Amino acid sequence: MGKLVVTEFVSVDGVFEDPGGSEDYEHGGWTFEYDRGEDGDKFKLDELMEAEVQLLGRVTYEGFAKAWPSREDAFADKLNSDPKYVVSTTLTDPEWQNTTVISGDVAGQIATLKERTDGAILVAGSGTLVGTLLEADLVDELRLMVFPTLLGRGKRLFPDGMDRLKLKLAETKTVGSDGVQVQIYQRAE
Amino acid sequence: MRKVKTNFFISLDGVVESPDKWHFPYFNDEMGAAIGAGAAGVDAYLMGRVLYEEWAAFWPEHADEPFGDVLNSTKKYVVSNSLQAAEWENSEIISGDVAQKLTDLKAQDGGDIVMSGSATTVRWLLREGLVDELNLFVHPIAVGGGLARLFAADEPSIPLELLSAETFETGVLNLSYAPIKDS
Repeated sequence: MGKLVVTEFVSVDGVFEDPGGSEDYEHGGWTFEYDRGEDGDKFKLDELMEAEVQLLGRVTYEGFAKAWPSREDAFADKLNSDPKYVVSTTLTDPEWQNTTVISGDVAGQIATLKERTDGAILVAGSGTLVGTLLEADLVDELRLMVFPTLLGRGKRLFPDGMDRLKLKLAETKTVGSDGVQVQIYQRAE
Repeated sequence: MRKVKTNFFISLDGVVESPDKWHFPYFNDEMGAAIGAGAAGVDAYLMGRVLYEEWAAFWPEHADEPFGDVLNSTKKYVVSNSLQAAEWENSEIISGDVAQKLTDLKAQDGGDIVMSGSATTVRWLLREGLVDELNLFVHPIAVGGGLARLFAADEPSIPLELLSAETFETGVLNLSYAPIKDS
């Protein structure tokens, strides 16, 4: 049974929009101002290497599909070659290699994906999709890389008015020299 | 220079409203000790009108409860342009040019000026650059349910410095941040 892992860059005020700068957001690329250190880099590399498949929303998928195919490092190789599932009602001809489109009954198809996958299903970015996953209680692990800033405006990770979700803190550490924090939460029994 | 320190019980999704509905299962000795350590440096409480009215109705009758004596006797400042009289023992209204009055207060010698709650007032203080420490007890629970969050949807961007981070057995994180002021 696959483990669905959501991994996000967030600000202290809970904004997770466009950390990489590929969208139109006023603070786009905001994570690049901070030093997450070698341990921060390793954390991101390890989680990608441990993933069996990638699950993405359309906007994040399109941003990644533009950026990654032309790169040639360990991170890029893994991301480019991994099986990728993109949730979209409009995307019909995905250009990135090894991509399957999921449309229609999203929660149902993802539940099936979890049953068919042995390892970790990694969800990065994918704001709208993550809201759906949280509300459908499909998230097994939530990893937050928390940057020391209040962005003030931008999309927030947790949907308003969601049902209560109890979690368990599995691990936390400070990485790099700028006070960036890694917080890993798991489903509470 | 006195410091304004704001303390919150906050959920993972940023909710600070009604902690009585979700925070109690996470209270333990470690949290109590951290709260106690923070209380040691306090010589005044600062709050908005809503919290003031709630507390002023409750604490004078409950002086014998754990924080009762301290809360009743410690100096209290309430920020409000509408409150006519501050009848609770040792309390004072700050109105009018609140930013200037708080700046003057901070320039005095003395201990910490602490806020427990009062999200609306804290947001205002953050915008005015008057918060020295933002102390968050981050609980491992997304509370949802339409309860109010600390950080609103449209605010200025403020960089922070992580001063300290502590983890409790309950999975609650005790994080302390200092807003970085424009130099």
